[in-house]
Parts: sequence; structure tokens; C-alpha cells
Amino acid sequence: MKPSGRIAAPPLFATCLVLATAAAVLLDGEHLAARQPQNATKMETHDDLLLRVERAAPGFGGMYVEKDGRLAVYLKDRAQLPAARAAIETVFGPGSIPAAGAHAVTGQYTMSELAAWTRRAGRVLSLPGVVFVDLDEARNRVAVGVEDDSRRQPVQRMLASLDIPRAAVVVETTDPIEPVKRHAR
Amino acid sequence: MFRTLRKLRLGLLAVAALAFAAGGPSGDRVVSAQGRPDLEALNQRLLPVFELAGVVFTDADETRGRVVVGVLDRDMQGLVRATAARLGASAQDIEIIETEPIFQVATLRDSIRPVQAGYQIRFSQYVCSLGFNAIRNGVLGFVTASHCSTNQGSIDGTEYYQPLNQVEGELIGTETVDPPYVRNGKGCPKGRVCRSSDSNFVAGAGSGTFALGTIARTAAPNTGSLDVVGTFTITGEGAATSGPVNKVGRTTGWGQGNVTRTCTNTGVSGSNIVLLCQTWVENRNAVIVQGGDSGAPVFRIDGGTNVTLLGNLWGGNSSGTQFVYSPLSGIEGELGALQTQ
Repeated sequence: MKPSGRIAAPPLFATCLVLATAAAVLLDGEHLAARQPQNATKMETHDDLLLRVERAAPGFGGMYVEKDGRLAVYLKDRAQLPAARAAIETVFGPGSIPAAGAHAVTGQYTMSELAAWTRRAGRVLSLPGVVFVDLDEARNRVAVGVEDDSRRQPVQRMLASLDIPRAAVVVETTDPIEPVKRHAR
Repeated sequence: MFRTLRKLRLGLLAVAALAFAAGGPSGDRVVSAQGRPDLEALNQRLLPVFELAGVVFTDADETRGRVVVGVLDRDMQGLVRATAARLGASAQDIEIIETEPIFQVATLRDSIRPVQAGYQIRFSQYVCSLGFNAIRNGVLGFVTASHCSTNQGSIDGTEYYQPLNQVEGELIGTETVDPPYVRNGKGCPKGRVCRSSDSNFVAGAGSGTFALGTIARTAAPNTGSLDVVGTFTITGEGAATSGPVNKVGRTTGWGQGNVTRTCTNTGVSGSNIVLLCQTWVENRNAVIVQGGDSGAPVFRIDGGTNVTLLGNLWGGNSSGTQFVYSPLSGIEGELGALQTQ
């Protein structure tokens, strides 16, 4: 999942990274998590929390903080915004809606759909040059990172074979991630 | 060492300069200062005053025409003057001022006891960073990266030294927990091996004494400085979903960036390992990770120097603008419950 925009689509994200991440502190998922018991094996992931929101607000497909500080909430039915707001506050805690407010954005997919496809899409990590698979709730998509463009086609082929809608996946190039130990001398 | 000595020297110069400013040299003094070729010789003769506890510096101050002696407490004045007189200095030859003590500047690559998070550790032929101290099943030790062990994913008795030399006096622990990377587990792609964290547990040993809940702190984030000026205090454990997070590692020091991805299944370059549900952090304007930062603690600042521990760093991109860490949920899911404060 991707709580802030490093990405091109929706285009607003690319320009709002700094504001979004700063404002996202208001989106108190992290603070909620910090209040959970120290037995971290029982900690819910952010994806788990978002799925809980969907259970209370059907059609919920993720959220992100806009450049203007407002929370953008993906909903298949935008009329569900009040229910989604209430669910977000229930799951993430009071004050989790930024002071600038929240507004609905039409989403194409629900969190549970994206979660299922993300699990399935994990298989592309068996292909060389695939860096990550992520439920990107800030884009209402599954995101797949590849080291270079030559890796896109095999990824797309495998995703198709896994019966994941092509439009639900964003494939992007990214740097490989390496372990960072260093020789002592 | 050279760096430290240079800093010490600079520190002494700074103190001398401050002392000069505080004293407010008068015109008479400046005039009388000129033409005292014996001043440096006098300064040398007064070196034994360092045998007195609390003497910080002596300085042949040409502008004052005197040897300035810096002391921690003005009450020492009589003792210093008596000693100086015994060494052949007249009362007019010396001036005594009160000053603060000068400490050698410690860096993240120096020795530290009790052991703190963020400092350099050594295993085999590699260096990494200490993740965080913890008690596991009643055993005091620390967590670092699993790949910072001789055989990643197996308990091989890897010995850890702090800061660098593989000698008994620097031994701080032995690896006791490093779960295997498994095939065909839930969410693990075919042909790969997976875990939910790149972490292991090292039981404290030898010279290791451990300060629970402390992380070394440098002066400011993203400066690359390795000079330790204090500590962060771990006041809780949690998970970050957005916003700024921090790490302290032996190579790039205190780095800060924004969470860009959470719970992301991540392929480890150059291996068949996939780490499940990892958190990505980015700062496009700073180098926040380099080789040797593996294992480093990742945390969120709650206020002042109080922090919430989030996990440990294990990887990054080659340009150093992105790092990836294992959240505590994954670490404790694999290593077992850990008491970190």
C-alpha cells in the first residue's frame, strides 16, 4: 500500500508528496498503531485497517491526502462518504480526518478486491527483476515495481494468467533494493 | 582518531577564543603583551598544573601577555596559583578563568558502553549497525539484520564486536535467533524464500552491557554527521503508515525520510529472497542510507527526543535516497516478543 504520492497517477500525487506526507501525519494510522499493545505479533497492518474501513463502508477503495490537506477517499459510490468518514474515525481514531476535511473520489476497485489481487500478484516476484508488489491504496491500484522496462512484458503476461484485470495494476520502474552491510576494511 | 583530535584541538581553540572574548582585553594589556618572548616557555613550564584535577587548558595568550589557565571551578584558583608559583610563575604571569570541560567527540563508529542502538557493530569481515537492545525470553541482547550474520537465516553462533576489533574486550554478543527463510510459505512466490523481517537476535556476552530504550543521536537529520551528541529515548513501539520516519546508522548517521510504501512485498536484489510486508522510506534530497547502515533502528519522533520504535533497516537503493525496513510486527512475529524499553 502506498499512503503518499510518489507516483504519476493521479497526476496530483506527483506534486503533492511533501505536503501529502506532512499532512498525512494527521491521518493518524501510525498513532493508532502506536497505541496498540506491545505484543507486536498481533499488530494489524495498514492494509488490515483499511479492510476494516471497507467492512463498515462498502465500496471503499483506499485514501490519500491531497495537496490542499484534504483526505481523498476512494468510493465506488461517492454518496457513501459520511459512512466512510465515520468508519475511518472508528478504525484510525478520533482526529484522523484532517482539519481540512475529506472528499470522495470515484474509485474503480474496493480494498478487498485490491487485497485479493495483490496477494495473487505476489507471484510475479518469482520473475527476475521484479522489485516489489504493493496494494497502493493511494492510487486505488495494485502496484508492481520492476528494475527496467524490459521486465514489464513478462510481468504483464503473468498478471494476465493470474486473472487480474490489467487496468487494476500499475507497473512502474524502480531502483533495485540491496542489503546494506559493508566490508569492515 | 585524527578527526577526533582535530575536533578536540578546535574545541580548545574555541574555548581559548571565548575566554579571550569574556575577559575583554584592555588596551593596556595589549600594549603590555607585546614583546614577551618568554610567554611560550612559561606556558611549557606550567604544564604540571594539569596534574591538578579540574584544569582544562593552558594558553600562552599573546594579547594578554599572560598564560591563561582554564579551570572547571574558580575555587581552584588558590591551588593553581600556588602550583604556578612553585613552577616559577609570578601572580601577574597567569590569569585564571572558569570554563566548561572539553569532551572528546564520540562518533557512531566509536566504542560505547552500555551498548546503544545505532552504533557500529562488527561480525566476521563486515560492519553493520546495532538495531535496538531488547530482552527476549529473559535474555538481554540486541536485534540487528539477519543478513548481518555469517549465515543468513540460520543460528550459526556469529559473534559480534563493538565497535570493530575482533578481540575479547570488544565482544558484545552471539547470535541465538535467526529463523530460516522458507519456501512455499503463505504469500511466498514460487522459487523464492521468504521471511517477514530481515532481523536476528543476539544474546549479550563478553563486554556487552546494554542500555534498553536508547538510540544514539547526532545533532540533526540528513547532515551525514556521525558525531553523537545525545540519545533518543524509546517510549513506545508502533507502526508507521505515513509521514516522516528516522534511522540512525553507522555510515550515514541520522537519516530522515517519508514513508512511501507500507506492507510491500520486496524482492532483495541479487538473491532469491522476498521480504514480505516491508516499509519503504524515501528522501529525494539526501543520502539516508549506505552500506553499513543495515540493522539500524527506525523510529518516529513523538516530541523532543522521545521516539516510537518502528523496526530495523536492512536495504536501500544504490543512490541512497530510499531505504527499506522491517516493521516490528514482522520482527516480533519471527523472533518472538521483545521488550525494548
